[in-house]
Amino acid sequence: MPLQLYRIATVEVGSAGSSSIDFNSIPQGYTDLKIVLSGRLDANNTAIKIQFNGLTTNLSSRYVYGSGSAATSYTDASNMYAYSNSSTYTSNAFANSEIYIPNYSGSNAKSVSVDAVTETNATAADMALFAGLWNSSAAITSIKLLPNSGNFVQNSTATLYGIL
Amino acid sequence: MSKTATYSLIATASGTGSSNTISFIDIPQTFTDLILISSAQSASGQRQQYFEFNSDTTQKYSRTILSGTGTSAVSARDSNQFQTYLDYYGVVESTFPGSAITHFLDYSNTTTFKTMLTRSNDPSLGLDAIVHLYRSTFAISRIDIKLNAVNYSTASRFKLYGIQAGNA
Repeated sequence: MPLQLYRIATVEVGSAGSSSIDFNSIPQGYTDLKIVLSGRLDANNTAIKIQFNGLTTNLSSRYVYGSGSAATSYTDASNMYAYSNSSTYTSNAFANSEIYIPNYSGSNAKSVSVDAVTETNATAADMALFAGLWNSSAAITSIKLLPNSGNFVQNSTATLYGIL
Repeated sequence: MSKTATYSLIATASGTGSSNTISFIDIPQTFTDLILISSAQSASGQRQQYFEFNSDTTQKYSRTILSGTGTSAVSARDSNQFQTYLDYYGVVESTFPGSAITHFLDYSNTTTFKTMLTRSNDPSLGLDAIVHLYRSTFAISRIDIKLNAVNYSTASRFKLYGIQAGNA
């Protein structure tokens, strides 16, 4: 059986840190895309915006969120998110997010599924499931992972996979 | 002898506009798990999708649901059902494709009941994380996905993958 999950690119953040993680010139020959992110920031923030084709418009999401003591749900009319660990979290601990985009090159709007968790040795940590929408008929050719504040620190890693 | 882990496409299907059913039949029993990706759009309105396995419509299905509506977190249970729904709030819309990802764990096992995990998303209504139980020890050889009351639009796409666990 042929391998159907192909690694397109991996970004590993170096010692200088990075203000974003970018996947550009994404090949259009796959069916779906998947990003696995292991991230930590140098700021007291966990939210990572997910943006497509250099645009900040036509993005929205709904998510269910747990903090370790309460569960709730939110709507964001302008953004969709993944998570990275805050600078205040347990040292050397990184958060994990998985982003799945079916039919990324098609001419319909793009539905995005995100599962995101942070982890820290404390009473509160974040876990969220996102239903995102990029309401655009354009094929996705680039993806930006942009911290709401701060920068990715060294050893933050994101891998982009293409799925046939 | 070691084996290389693979993630292999078994079959694809598309909505025809004239049917509410997508069927994956004669599923090979040679994988460890299955992954089903549903990118579905309805012919009209908000609709729920549901699974039937092996053409079994007896009351062997149950599920536990965690959902977010955009304003509140919700949990619910269904038991002794004739089918199992992929969604609760993360339903199928007619104006854009939603997404549902279902992981079938150890689907070919013939000694245990079957467990599935689904993430379903409707950015305009809500999202779900669902664990399903199919109380049958038969291996899953057929999966029918059905849309409630209306047909799948031709924009709907479905992909079934097999995952073969690799040995060290």
